[in-house]
Amino acid sequence: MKCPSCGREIPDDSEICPYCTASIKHRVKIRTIYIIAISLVVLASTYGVLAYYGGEVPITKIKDLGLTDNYNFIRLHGKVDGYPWVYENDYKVTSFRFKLDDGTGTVTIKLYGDVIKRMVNAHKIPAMGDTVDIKGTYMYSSNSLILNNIDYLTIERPEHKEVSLKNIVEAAPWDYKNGEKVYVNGNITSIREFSFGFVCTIDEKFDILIPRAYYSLNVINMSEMGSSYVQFYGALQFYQPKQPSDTYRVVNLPDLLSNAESYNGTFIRVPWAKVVDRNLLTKTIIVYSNGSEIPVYVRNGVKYYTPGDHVEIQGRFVNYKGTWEISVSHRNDFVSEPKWELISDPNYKILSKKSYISNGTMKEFSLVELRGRVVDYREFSYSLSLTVWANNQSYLVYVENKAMAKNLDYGSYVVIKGIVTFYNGQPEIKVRPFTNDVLEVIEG
Amino acid sequence: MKGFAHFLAGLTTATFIVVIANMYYGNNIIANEIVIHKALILILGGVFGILPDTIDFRFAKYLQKHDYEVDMDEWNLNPQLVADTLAKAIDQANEENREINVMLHTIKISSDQWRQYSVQFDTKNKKVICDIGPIISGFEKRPYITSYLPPEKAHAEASFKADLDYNYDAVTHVDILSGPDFSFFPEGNNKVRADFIPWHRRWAHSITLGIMFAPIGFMLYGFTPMGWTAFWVIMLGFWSHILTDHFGLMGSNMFPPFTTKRVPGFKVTRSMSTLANVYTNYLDILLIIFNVNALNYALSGKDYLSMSWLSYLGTNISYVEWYVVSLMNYLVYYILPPILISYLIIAWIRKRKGVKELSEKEARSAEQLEEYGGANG
Amino acid sequence: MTIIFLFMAIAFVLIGALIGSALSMLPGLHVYNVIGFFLLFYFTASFVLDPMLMVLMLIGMLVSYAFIFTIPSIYFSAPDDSTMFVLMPSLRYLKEGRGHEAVVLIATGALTGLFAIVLFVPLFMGPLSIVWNVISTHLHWIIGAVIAYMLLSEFPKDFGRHKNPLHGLKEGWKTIMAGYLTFFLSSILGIITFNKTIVPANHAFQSLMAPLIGLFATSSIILNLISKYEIPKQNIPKSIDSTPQDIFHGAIAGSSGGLFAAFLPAVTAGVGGYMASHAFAQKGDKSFLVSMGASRVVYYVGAIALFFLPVLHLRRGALAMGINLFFTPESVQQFYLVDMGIAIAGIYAFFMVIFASKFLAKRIYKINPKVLNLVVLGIVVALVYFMTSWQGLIIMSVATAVGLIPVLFNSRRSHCLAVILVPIWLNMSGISLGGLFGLW
Repeated sequence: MKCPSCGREIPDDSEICPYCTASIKHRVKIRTIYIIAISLVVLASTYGVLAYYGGEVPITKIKDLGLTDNYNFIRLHGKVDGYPWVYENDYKVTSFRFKLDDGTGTVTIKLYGDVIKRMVNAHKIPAMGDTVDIKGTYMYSSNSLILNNIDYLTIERPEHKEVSLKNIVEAAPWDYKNGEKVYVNGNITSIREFSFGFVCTIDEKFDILIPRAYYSLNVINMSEMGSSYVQFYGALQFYQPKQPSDTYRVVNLPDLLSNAESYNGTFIRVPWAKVVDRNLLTKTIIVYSNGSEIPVYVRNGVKYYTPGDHVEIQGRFVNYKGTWEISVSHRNDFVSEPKWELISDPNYKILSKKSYISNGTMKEFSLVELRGRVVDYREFSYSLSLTVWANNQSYLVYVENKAMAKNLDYGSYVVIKGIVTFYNGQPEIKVRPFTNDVLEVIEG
Repeated sequence: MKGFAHFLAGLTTATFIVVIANMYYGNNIIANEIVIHKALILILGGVFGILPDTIDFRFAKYLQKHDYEVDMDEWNLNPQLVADTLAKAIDQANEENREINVMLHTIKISSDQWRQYSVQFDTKNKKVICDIGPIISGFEKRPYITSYLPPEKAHAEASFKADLDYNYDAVTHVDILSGPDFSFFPEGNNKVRADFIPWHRRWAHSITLGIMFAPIGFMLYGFTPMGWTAFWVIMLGFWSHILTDHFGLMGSNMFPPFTTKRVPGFKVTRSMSTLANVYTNYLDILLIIFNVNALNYALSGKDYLSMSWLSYLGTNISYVEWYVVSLMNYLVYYILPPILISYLIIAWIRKRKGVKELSEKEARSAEQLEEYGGANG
Repeated sequence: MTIIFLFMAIAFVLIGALIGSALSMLPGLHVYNVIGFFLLFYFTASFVLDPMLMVLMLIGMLVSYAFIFTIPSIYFSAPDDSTMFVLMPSLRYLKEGRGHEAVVLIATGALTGLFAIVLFVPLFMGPLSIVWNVISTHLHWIIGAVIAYMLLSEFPKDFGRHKNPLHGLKEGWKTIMAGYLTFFLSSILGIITFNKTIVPANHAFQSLMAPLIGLFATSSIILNLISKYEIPKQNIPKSIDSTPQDIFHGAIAGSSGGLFAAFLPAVTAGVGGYMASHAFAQKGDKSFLVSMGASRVVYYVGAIALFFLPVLHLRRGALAMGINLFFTPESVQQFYLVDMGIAIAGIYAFFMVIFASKFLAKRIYKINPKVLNLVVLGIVVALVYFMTSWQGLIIMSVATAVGLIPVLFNSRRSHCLAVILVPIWLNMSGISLGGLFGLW
C-alpha cells in the first residue's frame, strides 16, 4: 500500500508511515473540509440578505440623544428648520449646515468637503420646510450630526402652492403657516446683501430671502434671475421686525374695548391691525382690527406708519383724557410692520427672459439701457441717487449699492442698465447689485 | 507551567498589588501614576514572574560543572556506556562524598532528525537501564519506525551499589537540542539522591532571591509610594512563579542557601497539561481585566463591568465594598462557569474515549519532560 | 440599498479576490504594499467609484492574500537547512513530499479563522467593547508587557557541549544576542521612520513601506536566491494526517492569537500567534500549521471586521488605516456587507489555494523559483522607488541588512516587528527617544 501522505510504498499493516511518520489510521478527509468551506455560502448569503433587507438604522428621536450616542451612527427624520448656511474660506464653501427639527428638539446637520460637491451634483439641497431623512455620525458636544455620504440624505419636498403677490402682501399671520411651501411670480426690483443672504424685493412689494448658501454653491444664478420674469419657490416665514414679549397679553380689539375697565393699565399686544388714519401733531395713529378702531399714541417714529400699513402693536392700554388708547411709550413697547416673506428654495423657474432695451420706454419692471451725463448725484450711507440727462430729458437713477459706481462725478458720461420702478408715482431706473445691471463711467 | 502562564501570573499579581496599594495610599496616587503618567510598574510583575526560569535556562544551566559527559554519535551507539557512566557516578558520589554530575548529550543526525535514547533508574534492583530509541523528527518527536535498533543492541543495564533516592522514578528521554544532566548527592548511610537537571528550580526559584530582587523597586522609584508598590510587585511577582510551580510535583528549593533540597510540590495539577495552562491563563487574563477596571473606577468612577450584585448594597458603598463584591460576582459569573463547563465537557469526552488519568509516576515523567522541554522550547 | 448595488458589491469582492490571489502568489510581496498603490489611484478617481465598493474590493484582496500567502511561503521559500537548529514545520512537510498537505492544513486553519470572524466576532461585540473601554487607557503597559515577554521568553538554543560556563554562555547566547540585535536595530529604524518623514510628503501614509519590505521581503528573497534548491516530488493526498482535536486546538489558539493582535495596536500576527501558542501550550506540527493559518486570517481580516464592528470601530492594521483615509464606517448595513464580502472572498480563496497548490505540487520540481524571486525583487524595488522615491530605497537597503540578521543567525524573525512595536509603545508611554538620534 501507499502512504496517503507522502505517497511512498509502505507495508500493508503499517499504522504509521516509516518515511514521513504520518498516521495512517487517524486522518481527516479533505472532502470534509471542502464541505465545511462550502457551508460558508450560507453565512455569506445570510449576511447578503441582512444587508439587503435589514441593517436600516432605526429613527432616533432628538430628545433621546445623549452622551452615549456620541460618535454613533444615527438616523433622524424631521423638518428643516430655517434656512441652510455655509462657512466659506477663500470663496470656497468648506461647510454646509442646516438645522433639523423633529418636533422633540433640534440638531445641526453638518456637511464638509466632497460631500457638499456631491450634494450639488446630485441636486439634493435641503431647503426650509423640507422633510428630510438623514443618517450620520452624531457629535454630542456640538449637538450636531455629520453627514458623510450624500446617499444618506433623502429630501421629501412638499408640493408648492401658488400665491398671488397681492394676497400675500395683505395676508394676516394666521392666513398661512410658517414653512408652508409656495411659489410666486414676479420681477426682482431690489437686492440687498446681508451676511446670511440676499433680500430681494419682488415687484416692489414682497421680500424673498435667498440664503447665502445657495448663492455660494452656485445653485442660484442671481444675474439670470435679475433679467427675467421668474417663478420663485420657497417656504413662507412670518417676519416680525420686533420680537414680541411674553409679558404682554395678546388681545382681540373688540373684546378689549367691551371690557375696557378691566384692562385698564395692562400691557397688551395687538398682533395684526391696519392703520386707517394718522395725526402727526398728536403723534397718534388710528388702527382697525376685527371691526373695531382704537387710537394708538406712538412716542417715537409715528411718521413711518402711513394709512394702509399693517402693524403689530405692543403697548399699555390706558385712558387718556377720557378716551381709551394704546400708549406705545414704554421701553419694550413698539409698533412694527410684520409681514410674510419667502425663504427661497434652491430652485426657481425662468418664465420669460427680458433684455435691456436701449433708451426704452419707462414701462414698469422693464429693463432699459441709457447713456447720458450725470447732472446731479447724492450719496446715502449705502446707496446713491443720480439725475442723468439723456435723450433731452432727465432721468432719476437709484443705485442700490454705491460701490457699483466708480469715478463718478458731476458731468460724467455714464452707461446705465437697470430696471424701471415707480417711486412716489415717478419712474426711476434702479441699478441692482449682483445682476447684469451696470453703472459705468465712460469718460470723466 | 509554560513561561507565558508565569508571565501572566506575575502580571496578575502586580495588578492586585497596585489596586491594593492604590487603596492603601489613597488619593489615587498609584492609579494616577499608571494611567496619567504612564508608569510601567505593572510590567515588573510579568518580568519578575518569568525571571526564575530565565535565570535558570539562560545562566544557571551554563554554570553547572559536569564530571562526566556522555557523547555518542549515530554511527557509534553504545547504550552500555550510558548505563555504566551513570552507575559509576552514583557509586562515586557515595564513595567520595561529593556531588557528581553526569551530562547526557543528544545525538543529532540532521537539522531535523535526532536519535532518541532513554535512561531509567531501577531503584529496587539498583540498576541503570538505557535504551536506544528510534530516530525522531523535530519538536513533534514523531518516531521513524524503521529506525529502531534490534533489542539486543539497543538495551543495556548496569548496576550500582548505593541506595538511590530518585524522586521521579520515571523514564528520561534524551532527544532534541541540548541533553539533560543528573546530579547525585551523597546523603550518608550509603544513600545517594539523584536530581534531574539539578540547576533548575534551585536558587533561582527561591523565596530568598525574591526578597533580594525586591529593593530594585526603590532603585526605580525611590522611597515613594510607587517605590514601595514596586517593591511588593517585584517580590510577589517573583514568588508567584514559585507558587504556581509548587502546584506541580517537582517543587523548588525555597530558602537557599539555608536549604539545599527541593521541597516537594502540592501535587495538585497532574502534569503540565494544556488544560492547566489554558485555565490559568484564562483566569489571569480575566483578573487583569477586572483589576484594570478597578483602577479605572477609582480614577474616573467609570465601572464598565458594572456587576449586578452591587445593586443589593444600595448606592452608598465604599471602594473596598465595591471591589470585594464585584470580584465575587465576577468570579461567579465570568470566571468559574466557562472553566467548569469546559472541564465537564472534556472530562466527559475523556471518559467516553477511555482516556485514563495519569498515575503519579507517569505524571512525574510528564512534568520532567515538560520542564526539560522548557530548556529547549 | 438596491439589488444592483448588492450584485456590484459581490462583483467587486470577486474582482479584488482575483487581483489579490494573482499578487499573493509572488513570494515576498505583501498585499498591504499593493493596497497602498491602489489607494493612491483611488484618491484621484474617488468620484467615479462608490467608496463602499472600493472597500469591498480591498477586502477581497486582503482575504485572498491571507489564504494564498501560504503558496509562496511553502513552495517558493528556501528549504536550505544547513544552518538551522530546527526546521519550520512547513519546510519539513515539503521535504517529506507533503507540501500539499501542509497547504491544506494551513488553509483549514485559515478557514476556521474566517468562521471565527464572521460567526463569533459579531456575537462577542458587547464583551469586546467592554474590554476595549477598560484597557484603552492601559495600552502602554500592555504593549510594554508584550515586548518584555518577547524578549524574555527566548531560550538559548545550543547542544549543551561546552567546555566552561563562559563558552556555554557564548554558544547559547549567540541566537539570543542576534535576536536582541535585530530587535534593537529594528526599533531604531522604526523610531527614525516614525519621527521623521524621510519619504516624500505626499506619500507619507506609506512611510512604513520601505522598512517593512526591507525587513521581511527583500531579506527573505535574498536568502532564497543564495540557498540551494532541492525540492522532492510532491504527493497529492486525499486525506490529511490530523485529528479534529488537533485542528480544533490549532484553530482556537490561532484565532485567539490573531484576535489579540487585531485588537491591540502595534501587535502583529507573528507576535500574537507566538504568544497564543504559548498560552495554549501548543504541541505538534499539525496544530501549529492550523494555528498559523488561523492567526494570519484573524489578524488581517479580523482587523477589518473590528473596524466595521458597529460599537467598536477599532482602526487596526494598514488596510483599516488606508480605508479610513477616504471612508468612515458607519452603519450595521456596511458591517453586514463587509462580512458577506469576507465570506465570499473566503470561499473563493480557500478553493483557489487548494487548486493552486495541487497545480504547483505536480510541477514544483521542474520550477526554479530563483527566477520568480528575481522578478519579485525587481517588482518590490520598483514599487518602493515609485512610492517612496530614492530615500525609500536607502531605508529599504538598511532594513534588508537588519532583516538578514535573524535569517543568518537563526534567531526569531518576529524581532523585526520591533520596527512598529517599539515606536508605538514609546509614543504611548510618553517616552521620546527621538532626541537621541538627533531628530529634533
